[in-house]
Amino acid sequence: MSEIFANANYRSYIDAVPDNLNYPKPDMTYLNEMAEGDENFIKEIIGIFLNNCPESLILMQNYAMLGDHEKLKFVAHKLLPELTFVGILSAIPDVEKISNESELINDLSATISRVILTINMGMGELRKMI
Amino acid sequence: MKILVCEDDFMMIKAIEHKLKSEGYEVEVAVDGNQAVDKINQSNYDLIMTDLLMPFVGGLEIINKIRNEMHLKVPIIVLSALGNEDTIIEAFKLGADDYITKPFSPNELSIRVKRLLIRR
Repeated sequence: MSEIFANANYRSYIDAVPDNLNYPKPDMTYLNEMAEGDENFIKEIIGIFLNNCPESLILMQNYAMLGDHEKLKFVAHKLLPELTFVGILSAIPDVEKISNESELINDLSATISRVILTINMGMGELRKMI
Repeated sequence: MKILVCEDDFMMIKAIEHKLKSEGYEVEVAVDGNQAVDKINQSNYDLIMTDLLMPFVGGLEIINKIRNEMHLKVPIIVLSALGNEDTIIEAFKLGADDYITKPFSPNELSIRVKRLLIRR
């Protein structure tokens, strides 16, 4: 998937986030520990996340719609450690659940919508940091 | 000391490289299983770190090739988000020397690498 396509979708997701939602800011503890004072490293990691994550969210949504749980779980599995890296911790319980047992989630569509919203809000905060 | 990192996630690659290079190691990266096998065939490494879920050839198959086809004794650390017991046991049975779950603690990664390299 091209960067332009990913960014275009990223923008549309971000634009869909309501202004009045209360959302915890990304927790940078882990990334700061990893960076050991290297600000460029932090920016680089955030940049990679902002560039790649929208594609993962689109893929999750598509695989859920297709009922392809194997691929859905794979994408969620890959996303999990990245969320810890950039401190979007509030999305982790849902993504973990999808990664482990997406086929058993009754409200999968709602769960994925919640994940997308939470991550998009986190990405909005991350964009301010770079 | 030269370390091969077999990993398809760019964020993870950056993080591992950052930590290992800051400790003075030379780091090479393979972004899929085929590239990993090629690099191991062509070069000598002091340690190999591998993810499990990778394109073309998975981490468990890479460990199997290293131990049972290439007959190499190079230390292998598995670095995976898969933390279930069956997978961990399978990795050790095939010949992995250590298993770290993602997201990893940078200091833990460092000490585990050092421990295996000292043993060599």
